[in-house]
Amino acid sequence: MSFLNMGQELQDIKFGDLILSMASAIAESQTKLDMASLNTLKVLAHTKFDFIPDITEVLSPVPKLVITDRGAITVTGVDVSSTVGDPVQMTLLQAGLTPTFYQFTESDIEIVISLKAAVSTDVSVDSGFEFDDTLTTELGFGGGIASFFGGPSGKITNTTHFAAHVNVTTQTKYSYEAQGAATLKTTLKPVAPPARVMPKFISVNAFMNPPQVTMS
Amino acid sequence: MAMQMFLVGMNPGFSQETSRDVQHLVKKHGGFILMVTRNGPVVALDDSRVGAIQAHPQVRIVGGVTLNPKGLAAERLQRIFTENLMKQATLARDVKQQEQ
Repeated sequence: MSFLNMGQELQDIKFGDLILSMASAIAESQTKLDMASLNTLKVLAHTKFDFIPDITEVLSPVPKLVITDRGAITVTGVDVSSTVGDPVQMTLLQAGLTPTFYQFTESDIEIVISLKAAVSTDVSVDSGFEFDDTLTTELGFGGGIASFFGGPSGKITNTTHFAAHVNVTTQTKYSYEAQGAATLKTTLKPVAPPARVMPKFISVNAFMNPPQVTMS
Repeated sequence: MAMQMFLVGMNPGFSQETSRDVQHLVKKHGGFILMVTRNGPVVALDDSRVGAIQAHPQVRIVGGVTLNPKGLAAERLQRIFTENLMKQATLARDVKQQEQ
């Protein structure tokens, strides 16, 4: 892997696919959350309870006569009578419980990619030098008949051996390391129910003339 | 999001015993029972514990709910929730003090 390929490596990372898969996951989760909220809405709309709209308490004065040493004294007494109104069947939705809807408000993708390429070259040189020198001397002395032809004779021989060697080793190492980490962060917040999915409450107040109609 | 209000919808035909069982489960996970209805309790619970309640075989749905102040009985519901919450919080505090 050469240094030139690192740019290609970065180009090969499919950011578009990453964003698309995260967006798809969020959309899928959002649908599931909405479905769960709608199911809760159904349960709330079907959960009925007896609601007692009013309890009327009537306080009536009941004077009481208290006898003391100095005579009779009238003190104020109170009589309390309660009238419980007829229970009205009401759903939890009517009463005031609404499903909580959630929304992914923001999402972040953080991608950290670390590419590392290294090249190292080791060169080792081993050289040697060998030298060998030999000096040979030969001397001869004549005698007898040989003495008539000349004097002493000699020969000097000098032999030199020379050797040299060089070993060169080259080693090149290539290393390539790629590390990646991705972090996805999403923020989920409760939001007001969408107006379209919430039922409209229409109240008609027949106490008034003409009856007053309110919608909420 | 921490503590939130949830409606625990039970499977149809659940018994009182099952309802109590679920309520104990909610308490075990640090939640409070705000009100008991015919379809299941309304509870205050840490949202990270919803999965544990949802896993109960008799629980059909655990859905987040919000009190709508415009509701016909919103004020009374709030009062009921507050009273029940206060009783349980006081009880929890007393138990904790006894343990210490």
